[in-house]
Amino acid sequence: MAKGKLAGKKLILLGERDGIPGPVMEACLKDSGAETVFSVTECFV
Amino acid sequence: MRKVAIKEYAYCLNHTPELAYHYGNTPFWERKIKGESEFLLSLSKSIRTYDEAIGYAPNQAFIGGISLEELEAHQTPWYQNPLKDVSRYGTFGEIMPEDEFLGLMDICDVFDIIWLEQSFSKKVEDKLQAHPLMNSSILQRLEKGHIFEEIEKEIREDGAVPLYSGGEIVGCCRKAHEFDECLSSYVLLENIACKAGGVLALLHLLKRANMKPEEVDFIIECSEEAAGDMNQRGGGNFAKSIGEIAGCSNASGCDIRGFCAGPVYALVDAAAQVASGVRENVVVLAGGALPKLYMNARDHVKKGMPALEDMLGNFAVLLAPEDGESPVMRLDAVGKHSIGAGASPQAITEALVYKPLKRIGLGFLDVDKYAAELQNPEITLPAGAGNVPEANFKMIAALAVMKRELDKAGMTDFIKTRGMPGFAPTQGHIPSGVPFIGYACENIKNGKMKRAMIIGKGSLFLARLTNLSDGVSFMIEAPSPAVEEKVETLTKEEVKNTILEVLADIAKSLKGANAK
Amino acid sequence: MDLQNQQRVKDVVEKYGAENVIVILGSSDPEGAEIYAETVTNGDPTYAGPLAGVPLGLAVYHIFEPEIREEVDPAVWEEQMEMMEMVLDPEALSQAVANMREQYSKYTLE
Repeated sequence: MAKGKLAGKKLILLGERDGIPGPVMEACLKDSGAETVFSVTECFV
Repeated sequence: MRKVAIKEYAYCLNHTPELAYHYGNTPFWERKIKGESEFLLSLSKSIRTYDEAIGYAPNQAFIGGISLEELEAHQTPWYQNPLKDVSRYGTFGEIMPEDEFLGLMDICDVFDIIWLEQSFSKKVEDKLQAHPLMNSSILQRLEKGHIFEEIEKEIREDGAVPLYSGGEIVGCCRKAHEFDECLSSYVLLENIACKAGGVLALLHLLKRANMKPEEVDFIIECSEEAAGDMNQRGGGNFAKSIGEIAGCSNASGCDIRGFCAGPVYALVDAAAQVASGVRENVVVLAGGALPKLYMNARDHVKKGMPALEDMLGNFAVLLAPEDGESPVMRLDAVGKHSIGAGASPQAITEALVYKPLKRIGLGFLDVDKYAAELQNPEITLPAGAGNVPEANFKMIAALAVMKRELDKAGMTDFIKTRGMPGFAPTQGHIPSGVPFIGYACENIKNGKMKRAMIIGKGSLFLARLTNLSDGVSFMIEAPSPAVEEKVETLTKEEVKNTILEVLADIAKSLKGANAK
Repeated sequence: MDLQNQQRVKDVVEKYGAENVIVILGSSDPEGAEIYAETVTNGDPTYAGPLAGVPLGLAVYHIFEPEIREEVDPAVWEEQMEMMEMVLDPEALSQAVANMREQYSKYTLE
């Protein structure tokens, strides 16, 4: 994969249960060349 | 596969603003960390009265005081447009005021944990005596109470937490162990409140079912509280403790947990027990979650709204073998979110809605109403948490589009006709699909609707054990017409004649054999 | 934002440096997204958590914003995100986060 904008970056993924959960964003960005250093899902209900 | 009848259902609320103000997690920790802060001061001015709470349209919809159609047609914001001429009692249950609820908590306490002040206890006793469901065996559990000085000392010296009514201390909840956090006064308060809510819903259920408490065979409790001590903090058993107070002497019971999906798991489990014949009937019930009270109050107060999260929610549902009249739960189309299914909303919706429908040859349009996460949006929207039920109906509609069962242009109509407004308090397990069971059954009985899907979803990540998603679903349908079982019966005479004929034939063949 | 999570964000920034960190949001509601974006750029607007009065100025995006979407394999996007694109309001969410970023972010994706 071409080196994208996110390559080498550290990612903080703030997911939401009723939106896009953390693990879904992780799956989307796992080949982006960035490292997920914190991924979380919040629930307001 | 057999189907199981949903025989009855009950829904109640407890209006508990003072428990909320002192022991809801948000104000409780604010007070602990910052003392009597500006937020707490504003919150104290945003508290609803009992009359405001019973005039609040979603609350009346929850207890069956108004229909969902009436709620939908009612002017918003609901909190600014109170209903007039409302009653404490609705078709499905009631909204109990806080003083009576403290009395009910004392009734539910069998370990001398809750202490009420004498004059308060007397006042509550008089009120509860007028309650249509509080019989003498329940009322005799209410203690005469303690003098104020004893209560004050218990709070000051022994770690009890105060209980308030009208801003005054009227009792306390004591701890049950010197240092066990699972038996701290706060945890016990939470658990006894949950138990009391379960008892109230059960009493209403029994009355609606015209059933004696002794006729209950099994109880499954499905709240999100953990009862136990430090050696087994989630040991249980709320179910039996609730049945005991209601007089269900022939019932056994246990608890099932699954975060917000707990009630739907419990219903599927209960239905399987009834279908298999293991139980004659099962009551699935839960009381409310005290820590969630005033959870989003910070945002409500900031926006100048009343603090709407002052209601504990409770429900009870009775399952029994199919009777040809009651609406039924289908057990061949239970939605399951497997461990490998994935966390995306798409994967979840596919597992819980699309797959079970497909399994029995149905499509998205064969379900009249979908009920998932029925949180009242007036509570969640100001907190930036969106309109949760609407988001769920959109997900189902969007998946229907992706599966080519619906045109994209039809999404709005799908959401409007097959969804519903959220009307449940933000009590986690309480809004999760189950508040619609009563309406679904009523509508199926009067022919307004054929099929509903009840969906529960849970946030497992909250326990920090797994990041997996979770959910479960089932469908409610009209019962199949009762089929008269034709059992061919033979009279004694017929049996005798048949035997004689057979014997005569044998004798004949034996004779023939001998002759050879 | 959850107080514990505010602390985690703060810790990550201390460890890796604000210029190296990208925050990606999955919020369902534009107002919620705005609060999150504000928290990681200008500080916790509710003044309740560890980021109160701490303007980290991080680069923050909603996952629906083109800058992030371009970085995702289209097949994965379709499988994970296609349905939610129909459910949520990607434009409003992107706008809400972009507004905060323009106001308070000290860093952006080059």
